[in-house]
Amino acid sequence: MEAILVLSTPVMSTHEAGSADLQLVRAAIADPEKFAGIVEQYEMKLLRYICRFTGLDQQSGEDVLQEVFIKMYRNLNNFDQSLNFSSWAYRIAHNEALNYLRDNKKHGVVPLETGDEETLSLIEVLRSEVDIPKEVSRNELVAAVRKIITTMPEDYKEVLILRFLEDKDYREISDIIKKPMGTVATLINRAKEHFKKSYSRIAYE
Amino acid sequence: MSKFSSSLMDTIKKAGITPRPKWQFVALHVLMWSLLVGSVIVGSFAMSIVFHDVFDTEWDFVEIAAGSRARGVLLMIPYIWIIFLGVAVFVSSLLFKETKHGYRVRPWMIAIGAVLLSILFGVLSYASGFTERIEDRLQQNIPPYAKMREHMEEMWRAPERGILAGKITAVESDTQFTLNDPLKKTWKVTITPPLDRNELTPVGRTDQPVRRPRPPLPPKMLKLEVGKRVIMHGESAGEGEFHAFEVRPLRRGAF
Repeated sequence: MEAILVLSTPVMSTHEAGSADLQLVRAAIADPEKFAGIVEQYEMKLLRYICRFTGLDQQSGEDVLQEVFIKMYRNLNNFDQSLNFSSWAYRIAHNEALNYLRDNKKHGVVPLETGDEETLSLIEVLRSEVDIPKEVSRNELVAAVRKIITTMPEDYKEVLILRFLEDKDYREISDIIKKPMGTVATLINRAKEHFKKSYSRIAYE
Repeated sequence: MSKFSSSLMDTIKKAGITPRPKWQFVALHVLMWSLLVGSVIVGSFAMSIVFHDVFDTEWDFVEIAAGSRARGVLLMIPYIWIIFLGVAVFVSSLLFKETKHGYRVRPWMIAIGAVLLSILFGVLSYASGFTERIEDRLQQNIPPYAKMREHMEEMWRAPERGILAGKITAVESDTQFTLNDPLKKTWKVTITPPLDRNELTPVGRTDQPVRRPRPPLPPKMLKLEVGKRVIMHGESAGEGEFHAFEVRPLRRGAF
């Protein structure tokens, strides 16, 4: 499975990023040709998210991504400008990924390739929740985490990916999956607990 | 422009895909909010009917007519309106959750909010008399509904148990009038004090009971008028005749 490349982008504050997005959206609404700017801004981020959530490879992920942008384009006039555009974009990607999973009834697999720093960070975050013996090898750990994430309920998987891999805060996650912030916090806690119990079960098999 | 974005823009151009006009989204939002308000209105009206049935029922007469309080309560509960209320609360909660920022509120808070709104507007509707007017219109215009409500009110026709309700058709005097019961049967009613069995005493050697005169009836008696619906507690005095100990206005009735 191909590793997902992460392109480095200039670091902007959240406020600056939001203002720039809004300008792009306004430009795209006024002149649809300008929509390409939004596509280039979000192409890699959303592709990475779709592949993480669905377990698709890059090529198949791009098929879903195309549907995401087409839907985004069709609904540009429905963008609530009081909302963070990034959250709106992720929401559309999230819904399309869910639709794909439900249509294909496949279990998503997190591609945990060696050298994928961001993906390995998931292990590091979750490592603090469970007692992982030092002698466990990286490969064994990757296999165990892959198995857990594969069988994890969708509700838990989506918040884990958004929080620890996409680095979204609770408000953004709430806007993306359209659930109250309190529910998001509860789901994250339950997801970590689920991971802990699942890992303990696998470790003693 | 990247390969992907270039390919995407080509696809969009070739397929003739364009952004949906804003008015479509505005229309959808208006429709959703209209349905939401509509479901709150239905819920409020259902709640007001529940209030009407609970507060305007002569529960002491119900106990007599039904034979027991529990049976009476089960017979008088407005099940259809409670179901309507439940459905309205559910629908309004779902619709609210689909509004722009509705998802930020916890589902149980939305449901409680819907119930509280129904209670608030239900109380206003009931207190203003609006409920009774709408209830009458519903019964006049929807025969199956009227039949269902009449069925509930038939328990007011239990002269053998001392309960009778009807619409006054003629007033002969302050203590005598004629009425038609829920089954359109005519009754001659005489308002009379009840026999107080504690005051029965033997007279002389024959041990014959004597009815002592009692004080006037309490001022719960209403002004008798043709067309008024009343409910009475008393006793049957033969075919088509009823002695009423107490006459009250019938606030909940289908006829």
